Amino acid sequence: MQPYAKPNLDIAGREACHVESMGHSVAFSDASMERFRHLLTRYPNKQAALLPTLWMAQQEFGWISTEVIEYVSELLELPPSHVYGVVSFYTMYYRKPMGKYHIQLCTNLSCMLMGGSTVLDALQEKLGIGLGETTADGMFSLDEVECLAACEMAPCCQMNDEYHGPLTPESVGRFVDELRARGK
Amino acid sequence: MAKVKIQVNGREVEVDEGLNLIEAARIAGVEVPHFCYHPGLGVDGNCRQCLVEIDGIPKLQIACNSFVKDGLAFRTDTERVTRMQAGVLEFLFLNHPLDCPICDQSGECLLQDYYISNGKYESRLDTDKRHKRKAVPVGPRVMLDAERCVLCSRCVRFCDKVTGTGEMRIVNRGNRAEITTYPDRPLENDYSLCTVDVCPVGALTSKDFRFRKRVWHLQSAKSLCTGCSRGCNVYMEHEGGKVYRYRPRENMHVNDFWMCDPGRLTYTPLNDERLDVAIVTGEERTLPESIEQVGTWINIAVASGQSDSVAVLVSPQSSTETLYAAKRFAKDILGGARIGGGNVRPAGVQDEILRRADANPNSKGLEMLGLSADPAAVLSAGGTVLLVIDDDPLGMNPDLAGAFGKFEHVVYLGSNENATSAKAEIALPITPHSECDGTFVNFEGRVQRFWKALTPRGDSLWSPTIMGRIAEFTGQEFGWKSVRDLWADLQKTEDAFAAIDYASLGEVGAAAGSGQPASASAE
Amino acid sequence: MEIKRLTKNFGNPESWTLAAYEKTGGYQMVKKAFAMDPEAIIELVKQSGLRGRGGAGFPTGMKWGFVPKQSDKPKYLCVNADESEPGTFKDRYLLEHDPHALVEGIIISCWAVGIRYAYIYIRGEFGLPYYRIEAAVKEAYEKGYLGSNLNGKGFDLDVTVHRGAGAYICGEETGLIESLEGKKGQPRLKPPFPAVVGVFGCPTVVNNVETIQSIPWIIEHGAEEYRKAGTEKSPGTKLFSVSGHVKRPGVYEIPLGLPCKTLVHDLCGGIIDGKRQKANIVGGSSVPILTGEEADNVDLDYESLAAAGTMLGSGGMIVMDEDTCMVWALAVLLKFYAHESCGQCTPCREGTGWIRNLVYRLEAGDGKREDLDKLLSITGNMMGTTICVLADAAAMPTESFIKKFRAEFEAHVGAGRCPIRGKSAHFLAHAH
Repeated sequence: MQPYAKPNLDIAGREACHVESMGHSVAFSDASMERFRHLLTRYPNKQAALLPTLWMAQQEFGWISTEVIEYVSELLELPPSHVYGVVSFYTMYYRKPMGKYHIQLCTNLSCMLMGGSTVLDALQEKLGIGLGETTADGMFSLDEVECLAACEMAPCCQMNDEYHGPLTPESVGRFVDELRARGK
Repeated sequence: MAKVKIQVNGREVEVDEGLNLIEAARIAGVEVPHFCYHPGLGVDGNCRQCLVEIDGIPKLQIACNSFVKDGLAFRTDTERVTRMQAGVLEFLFLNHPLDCPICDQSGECLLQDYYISNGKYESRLDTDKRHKRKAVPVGPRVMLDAERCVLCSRCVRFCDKVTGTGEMRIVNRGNRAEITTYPDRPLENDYSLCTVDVCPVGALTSKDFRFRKRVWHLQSAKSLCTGCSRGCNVYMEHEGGKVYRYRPRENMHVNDFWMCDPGRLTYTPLNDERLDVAIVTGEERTLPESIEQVGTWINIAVASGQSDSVAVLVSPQSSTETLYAAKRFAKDILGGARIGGGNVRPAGVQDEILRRADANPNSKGLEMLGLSADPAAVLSAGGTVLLVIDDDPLGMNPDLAGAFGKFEHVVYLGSNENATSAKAEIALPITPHSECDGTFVNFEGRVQRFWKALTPRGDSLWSPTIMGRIAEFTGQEFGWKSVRDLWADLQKTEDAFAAIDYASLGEVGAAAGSGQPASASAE
Repeated sequence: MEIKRLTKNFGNPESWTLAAYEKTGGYQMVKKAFAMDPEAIIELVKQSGLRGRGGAGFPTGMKWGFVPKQSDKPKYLCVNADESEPGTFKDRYLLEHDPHALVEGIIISCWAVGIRYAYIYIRGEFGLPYYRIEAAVKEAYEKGYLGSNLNGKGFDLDVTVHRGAGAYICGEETGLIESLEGKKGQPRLKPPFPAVVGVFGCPTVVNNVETIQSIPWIIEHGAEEYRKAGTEKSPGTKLFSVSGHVKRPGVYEIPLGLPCKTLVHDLCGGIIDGKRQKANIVGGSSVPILTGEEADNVDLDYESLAAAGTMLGSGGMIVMDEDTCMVWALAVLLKFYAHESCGQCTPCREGTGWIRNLVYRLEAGDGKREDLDKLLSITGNMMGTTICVLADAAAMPTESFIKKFRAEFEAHVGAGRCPIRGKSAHFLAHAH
């Protein structure tokens, strides 16, 4: 058979997979590798370790880049398309660098009933960014999130992995100031 | 397998136990619309199109994941089923572009078919459609239109389950879900065009075929792929004397539902660079006068008792019928001409799925007819006439030119213009497997039929007929008017074929030696 | 009015530590259970009438009984700690305040069903609950409550905390199983049911945190005592998460059958600013909505709520006052369902986005009168046609909102803006 001519094939995958390059290859530190090996002992097959491995990768590398996906797919012997499919299915794997403080405001019903949208307005104004954006100094990222299961403190937000609430337009302003001071 | 009695829309039918209701309904002549289920890819249950009403179960059930047992009764024709099926179709159209006039799938699109048979509701889609990527290559041979995709996951499951290469994936969730490859991991496995076959809509199309022909103009013939010794069963689809594509044809003994990409694209010699008139020293001639010239040379050799000065070089590319005619020609008509041939094609890729290294469709047939002698031995002494039948030995092995030169006359019987036809003093046009009935024997010894799709091009004739006409100049004849005639002789004279009855080969062929049609012998 | 069984340790100093838990008699029920025949424990749970507290309310003992007694393959328990039904936060409380009770419940449940491995699938957003349960499992291993030969007769049990990564659908038991296997959390076709073919192809029990946490109490006090709270058909206590326009939102453990009015107006202190209760979603966002009047006249048990046309669900109660726009509230909910549909089944994938867009349009005052009937027809095509019930969970509230507050929906048609809030919900523009 004739070998096939190889046209530019990048288009399809690149347009649909919102994943960017870090510009360098990645590898777990020795300590993480130790944790990873322990992780594998907790499951009957490698694939089952995918979610926790991605968590570890995000913790170590900051976000999930093409390099991270390739690395994880090699570690777990999975096609990169599978790893990306999983990454894209869940909301907590970040496909771009995030701010030092990631504020996710709940916009589900209980929070909205308690004034969530005014808190959201206040947050956007205070940070000068919209949803899905990161401040220029890399300090804050802002997102909306679905019910955090903390409706008793509505309106509430998640800042990295801490919950905060109930929030008011005034209190989020102070909250942002505190974080900014802490982050400097 | 145990048979059970079930009722489909009130009609009793007997089917194998354990079939799903889509397959069972098909036996009863009822088509249950479905997108995601495919017999070669199993049940996934995501499209929800195959909802049916099963007696005794209040909720509608999906037919693909419901299985027959004795006494089961189900209906596809109730008001509720019709309404819900139309409802599912409406959901599928919500974000589907209405670009049928420019869609290559038009005419073989399940969405289109089911709209006609089960939809036909008034449009009430007045919200904006989601837009996705259109006409992007996902691989060297396959194009994607993501807007047309119904997310049935057939292509994903094909690449996961059949090839194990896992290129295709549905990413994101909800109505943002989209089919794609991963960057720099294009869909380039050797079976990628099967994703086009299984795609129920126009999302995945073949680069080779797209925009070349509206499918409703195509006619279809049952045939075989000649790309290797597997002998994948295909539909040869053609129009106006030209073959446009191969599509795999189900044969669970040979290729299941699949075929490889390289094989699929081997149809081109059936159209291009055809030898369709006789050529004598570079000039077009009528077939009768060309045959007469060859017949004269042969007759001289036979009459002068020098039949061993004639050599016949055959090819595992030829049909069983061509090979048998050549053998009879050499042994009976000439009475002792050298004959043989072997694998001059370089070995191809072999894999665990379908592809075989032996790139010839009939090596086994050649072997069963005892014709696998080394070409070098056939050619070595030179002589008066060399008959070269099929393929392009000179093109593939230019070193043979010296051996060819030791014959006074080189005659070529083939279907294409090539190095061998150019070197031959006389080239006679014979019909390729698109233009006659016949058989190949695959590597496992399964004798399989191909059916005539097209009328012979130009002056081309069935090779046994041409050999018969040449033989007439020696005062002898074969007397075969059809493949059936030839097979009657073949069965009588060749032990290896004694147990095989051409008439019973059917669509799936028969294992040589068993004498049984494959469908029976394999069970 | 409150009966503290599962919440009894809430508020104890460092209640989440092993030391504190043992001080209140923790892990004693493991010893008691090991002395019992596993079959007897299943029987006891059946007699208690405990029903799954995650939302579906399936009898727990019966679910355990479906697991094959003899199996060549190991059996698994998946604890569903993927609490994500909007308005529900009781499992978070249990995990934060009393994680060892969960571990103890797991040990007993696994002993009863013959389970070798347990996973606690916890939602990815949970930070503190995750650290607490991780620490509890670690402590339990160190103390020998987990690991090998726990009863001196060869009973081994390993427990692993597995963190989700943000997907509501992983709370559906087969979505959870898929996710645990390292895939997208897309629910599986049933049959086969997890009890027979579950995670890793093995027999699997999936139970909610609250369900498992009820087990030690049942072992300690017996089925008869368990049934002393609740009604005949809905025995026991249930944790309700109450949020929205009430004065004291929070988690309340009440006997099933308690009047809703008591929970809202007494325990939670009534509606903020003394306003009228306009509507109440009693069992988490997926159940049909009740008007305030209906809510004030219903009891909180499976049967009474079913009779009232709604469901107990996960017990995530969202209370709305008289100023709430019902079209807006539905739009907020539909934003959620469209965002969380896994995208697998056609009617859900396309339907959730479609009805969301139609309700957005209505909320903005740009809808058409026929949109209301169109919505009801679309939800009709969504219900009962999919692998899991997410489509129903979006369709049922939609139907009930429109049926119960139709005039309010009609008032939005052609209004150009929300006539109740005077503006439209600009945040909706951000939804995908």
